Amino acid sequence: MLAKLRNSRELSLAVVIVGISVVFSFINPSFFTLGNLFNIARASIELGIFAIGVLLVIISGGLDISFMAVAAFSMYVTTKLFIETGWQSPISIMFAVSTAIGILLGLVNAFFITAFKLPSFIVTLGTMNLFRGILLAMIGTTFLVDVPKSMIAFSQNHLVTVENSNGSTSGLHIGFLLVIIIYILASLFLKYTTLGRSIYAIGGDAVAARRVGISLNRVLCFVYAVAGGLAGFAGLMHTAMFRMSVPSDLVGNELMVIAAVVLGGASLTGGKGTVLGTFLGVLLITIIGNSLTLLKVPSYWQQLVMGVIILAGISIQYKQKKAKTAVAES
Amino acid sequence: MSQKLIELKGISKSFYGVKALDNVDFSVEAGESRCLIGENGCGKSTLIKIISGFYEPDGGEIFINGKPYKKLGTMEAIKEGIQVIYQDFSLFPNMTVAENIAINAVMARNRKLINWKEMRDMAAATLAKLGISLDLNRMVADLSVAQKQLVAIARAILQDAKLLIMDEPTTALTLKEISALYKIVEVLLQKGIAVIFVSHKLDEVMAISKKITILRNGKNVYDGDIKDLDKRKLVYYMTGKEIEVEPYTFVPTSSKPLMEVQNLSLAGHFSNVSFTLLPGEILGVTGLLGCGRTELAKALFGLMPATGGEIFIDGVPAKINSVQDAIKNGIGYVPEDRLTEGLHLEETIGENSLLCVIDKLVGKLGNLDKSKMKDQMERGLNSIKIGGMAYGKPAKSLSGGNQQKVVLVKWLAAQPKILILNCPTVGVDVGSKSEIHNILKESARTGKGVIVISDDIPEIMQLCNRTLLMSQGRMVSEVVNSETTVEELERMLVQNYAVV
Repeated sequence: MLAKLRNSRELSLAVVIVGISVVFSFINPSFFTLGNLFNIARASIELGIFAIGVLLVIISGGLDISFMAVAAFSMYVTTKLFIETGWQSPISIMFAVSTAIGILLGLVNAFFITAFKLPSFIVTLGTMNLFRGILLAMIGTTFLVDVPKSMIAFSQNHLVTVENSNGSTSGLHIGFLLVIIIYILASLFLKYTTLGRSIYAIGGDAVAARRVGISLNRVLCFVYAVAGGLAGFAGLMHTAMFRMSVPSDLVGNELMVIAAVVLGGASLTGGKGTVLGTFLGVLLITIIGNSLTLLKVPSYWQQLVMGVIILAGISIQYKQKKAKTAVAES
Repeated sequence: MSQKLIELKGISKSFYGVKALDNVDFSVEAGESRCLIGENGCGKSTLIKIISGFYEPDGGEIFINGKPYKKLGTMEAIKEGIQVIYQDFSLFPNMTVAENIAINAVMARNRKLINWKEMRDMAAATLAKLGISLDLNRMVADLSVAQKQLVAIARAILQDAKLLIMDEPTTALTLKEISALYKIVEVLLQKGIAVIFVSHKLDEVMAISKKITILRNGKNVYDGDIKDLDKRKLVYYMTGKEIEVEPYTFVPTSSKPLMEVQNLSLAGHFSNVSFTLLPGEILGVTGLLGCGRTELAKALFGLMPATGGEIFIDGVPAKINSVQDAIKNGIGYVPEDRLTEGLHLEETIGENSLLCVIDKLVGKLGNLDKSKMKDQMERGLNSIKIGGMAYGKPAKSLSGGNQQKVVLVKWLAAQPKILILNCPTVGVDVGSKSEIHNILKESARTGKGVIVISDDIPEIMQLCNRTLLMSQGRMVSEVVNSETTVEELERMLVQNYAVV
């Protein structure tokens, strides 16, 4: 187990995270305060939930780029629904509705991918525009700022709160606990269920998976439905945290999530990826974003730095993989 | 007389009016090793697919353990213990050995949860039963081809296989691995499991199987003991014609070497390789997998430039650091893996045949000249008989042997002075093989130099006039083919292996 961990991607990623944190804490002493760690946790919630959906799709050998459009659609429709009906429901029901919408949209993806045997990238490129178009053309373009009370309450629902040196307060948001629960469940699911292993099997070799008797269509429907559901969930999280629903939001940030998952060791050729790796990938990207903000780096420069880090991370990963296969072949 | 494990009577199967199988009888007894042999397109794979339940025959009867089946489904076939090990093994590279071995059995149980300990125990017990030692925790992607094959066998056995069908099992194995495989097969046979080898490697067939079925054009043309057949008869049954095997006789026309290689080295792969190649020679390079033979070919063609030593072409020192350099020096290379390195499978046969001379087929404006292209296609592709050929059909529609002929046409079009071929007839049936040999002999007679890399000793003996033997990255000996025999050369090959 230890030996396995030693040359694993997770360990090298953890080392990088610790290294970067140490460097940042030298530059900015406020990095290692509890308040800032809570801020990082809060910032990682959305990215973290999206990443699990993306991870499942990537393991199955596909690539979904529609999830942000799904999230925007689900959150906006849900928020509009609750505002217009005036139903002051608990936040959990809102999450359930948004998730359900996400699942439906995910099934639309699954339908085109399984029924017409189309590459998932192409299908989701199409549905991304479709969902976004329907949302903006038919449902609404106005910002919803007068969100239900339960959303406002949720945005301030902290497990613990600390006071920062400048007098402001930071809290560990309850959403982070939800992320941890989702990660534990996803991890158990992928490791200990036949369905979870089937996803790896399909990503590893679809023909072989069919010969084992795995129903590709069923498994893929599940994968895209879950990815859609998680996107719907994360979308509502986005609306609740910012206390407003902006229909043109989110879309455009897909690649950041995919980058986090790939940095975490998932292979775009399918069959590979772990929940722990994804968690670390999400953490790394969040920490870098957070630190650059603390250092008052302008956001355009942040994008540049992020791009460099993603390219470097992925290049190193492929280099390692190549070296490994070279050893195996010799 | 023991009970027939599986018996097929009068099986016929047509695809779009073409008879793939015509009234074929076929049977296997428990614990029997039978070889199913025939040229590409003879109906072997159709027969296998009927036995494993993928195809439903148009006519005929299937009995398994005496029980008649009107229609055999894949699940029923598996339940009856029929397991096919495909050439690609159908393994999951991203999973461990243990999971790969146990996954089918686990999936078949239809449970929702995975018990990892049970899975590992099952895998370990199966490997122990077969006398295979493999690390259960290794990723299948990191295994050698031979090890992957063992995993596939273990997986089949774990599913209570009674009949194991192995499709071309020895194609990518070294001699040592083949003999290890045979040992495992012996274990299986002793346990009463029947094994069908689907193959077209004649020598191996003779070594491992007791019974043989030969198919030709969808008909069962021979069914019986292998010991009653000699190689000549076997080839006759397979091809329907006597193939004259005449070794190549080299008549020197010039003493000036076409190519001279001195102390060529490639760090980590081979060192101090020296040889000369005269015009009109067919030079064999042989050695076991991993001896450096492929790397030598790649170095000569600039794919993996040499790190030391010199190459002279026509007596002039030549620097070959890239493929472009090699082509400029008149060298052509037919790679080992025609599927990934030799052909554009999706493109048409005609276009594939033009690739090496495409820059000569342009019109005045730099555009491709249609009529020049057509002329070249005709010139190239009509020089060789290619079964199933039409200029506009994709290259992937051809059988292995015919694909290889297209690769040859492509390179011959560039009229290289020196042609290097890496395992030119792997996966090619007997008939096409002899045609390919004839093409090569013909080119050599026109004064080209040919270098053939192969571990198929009978092929080396037929095709080449001189042979270099490589082992562990070194050239260990050189023989003139007319002064040696297949057996002698094979012994040298294995001996060199045993020493190191």
